[in-house]
Amino acid sequence: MRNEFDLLFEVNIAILLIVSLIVLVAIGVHIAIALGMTSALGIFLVTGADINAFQSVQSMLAATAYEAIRAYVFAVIPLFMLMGEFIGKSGVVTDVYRGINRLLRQLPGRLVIATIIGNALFSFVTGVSIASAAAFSRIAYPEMRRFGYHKGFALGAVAGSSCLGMLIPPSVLMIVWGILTEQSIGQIFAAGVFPGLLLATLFIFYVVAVAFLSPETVGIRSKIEEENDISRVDAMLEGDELSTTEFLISLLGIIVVIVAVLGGIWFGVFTPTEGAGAGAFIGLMLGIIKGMRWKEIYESILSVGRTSAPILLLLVTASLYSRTLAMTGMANAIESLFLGSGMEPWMIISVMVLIWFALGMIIDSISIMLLTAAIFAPIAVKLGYDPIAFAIIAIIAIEAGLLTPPFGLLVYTVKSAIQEIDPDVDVVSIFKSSTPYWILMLIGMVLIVIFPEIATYLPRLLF
Amino acid sequence: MSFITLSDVVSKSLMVLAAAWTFGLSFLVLGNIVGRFVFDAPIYGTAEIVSASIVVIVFLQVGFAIRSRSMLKADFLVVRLPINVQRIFLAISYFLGAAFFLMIITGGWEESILSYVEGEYEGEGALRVPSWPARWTVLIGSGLALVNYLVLASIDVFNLGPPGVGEERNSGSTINHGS
Repeated sequence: MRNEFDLLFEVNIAILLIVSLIVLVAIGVHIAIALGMTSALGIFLVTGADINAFQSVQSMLAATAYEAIRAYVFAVIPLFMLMGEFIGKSGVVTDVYRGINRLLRQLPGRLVIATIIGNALFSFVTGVSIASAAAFSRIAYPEMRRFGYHKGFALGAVAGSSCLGMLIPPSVLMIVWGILTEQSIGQIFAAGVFPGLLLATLFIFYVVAVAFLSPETVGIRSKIEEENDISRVDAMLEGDELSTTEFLISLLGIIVVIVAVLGGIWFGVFTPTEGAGAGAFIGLMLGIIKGMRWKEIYESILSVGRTSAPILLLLVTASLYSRTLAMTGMANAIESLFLGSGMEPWMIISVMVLIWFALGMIIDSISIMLLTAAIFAPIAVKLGYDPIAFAIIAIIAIEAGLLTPPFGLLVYTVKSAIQEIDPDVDVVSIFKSSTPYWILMLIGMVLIVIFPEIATYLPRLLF
Repeated sequence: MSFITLSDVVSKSLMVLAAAWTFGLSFLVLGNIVGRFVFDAPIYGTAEIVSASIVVIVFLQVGFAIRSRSMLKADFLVVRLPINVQRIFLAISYFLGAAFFLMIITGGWEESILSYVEGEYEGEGALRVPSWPARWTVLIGSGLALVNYLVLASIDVFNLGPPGVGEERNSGSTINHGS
């Protein structure tokens, strides 16, 4: 009798909390506050819903505010963001984009390929795929228009490739997932390498295939023109004053940062936090070599001040939320709902992916992670999935969610970013051209579900 | 100087201080690595200083994050609603924000005072870091967060603030990223 009552009570609270969380997020309450207040409500209800309960809610909020992020590992977020900001402001990514563009001039569709690589790097340094899509649209789109690329095709590539950056370690999404699920951040970094290369290869194959099958999408209208294309490109690039030395410095710089930081972490030379500190320093050096001075350095530091605090504050309330999930029995209730439903493991994973897609229409990837990681990750582990492989599956699914028609946020971001340049492009045509990338990401994700070794091979080798 | 201007100056200064502090941390961490490998002499207490610093940095920045509308939120649905409904939702949103930080203050002030009086410290290892600076920053930061939610409410809900302060309203962007 008593157990049944308890269970009913738990299920009721769980439903109430989920509904209020969804309502609060939907009406535009700051996500950190929505998480925090829903947790406060949950704690209030399970501790007796009276004046004493209200006091314990307040002391728990205060304790969490002080304790939740008081750990060495959390410094990894602002420090990596500092590294990204220095690299981003130094202009090396644009150099690499232009350099690749020039190197590949014999290849049809080269601008799209350069965009994919450049934007992946750019979203890796910005750490937020939405921000990167907005910025890179303005860098790459005018260029592709200049060479007569199909408008939708050009923008679809920007939207698709900004997801790729989240799989390049040390991505902020990987760090946040590692913190939330208490997995080794270094291992998740390693796990992202092969899936990232796999997706990049799939993307590039797709672009080359399109370029061969329908040359007009990449601005080549006839056979004769195709022959003239190389000289035409050379002529158009003439005004382009990027020197080879500059390109090599930028390329080398990015490689040095990634190799030093990741190599150091993977070979146990330093912890992720130390890697981030070293990365920030190398990023600063790279910026100075590329001509950054006090003003730009100061701007970068301030910019991190603005962008890192909301994420860290989200982590504070996320820790409150995960505590509430445990205290109210909500985590158990959802877990038994999934595990007791009689669904096959792949069906449960599909449901999770569908939820991620739905969330990708309204909020950004870090917020999606904070809402779902604490619930989904333990279920996946109980189903027998490797936690490290699941981290990568989750990152791909959450990023793909931002591309999902008809409301994927990334597509709308790209559209609003080029509004001034070219107001004629409609959202439908961007969705049409970003859908192939979305499908390729799903294929990549399914491959990792079936062969988790794609993700787990490298971490097993290194750790 | 109006109250909003004053609050903006304070919020911004604390954010700049915290940003500089973050920059400083990267050198501390780097110094520790170099010290350990090159001179076989790590900087004692790096981990303890960094851990305490992160709490301080976040709460020094939170007021400005709120004021500059950098807090992550979903306004996908809201922007499609009539302006008066939007106002109501904004009012709810800012009220909850203010209430959240108020509860952190009411739940934490006693312990914060005690931590100073009793000389509480954190860390077992290389360095003992007193806990009161971080605890007090949590209180001060929460107070500033509370004030900034009220400032936003006065501007967005009651139309009291100077027009054009901060970012444009309802710009149609789905997520405010501050950068």
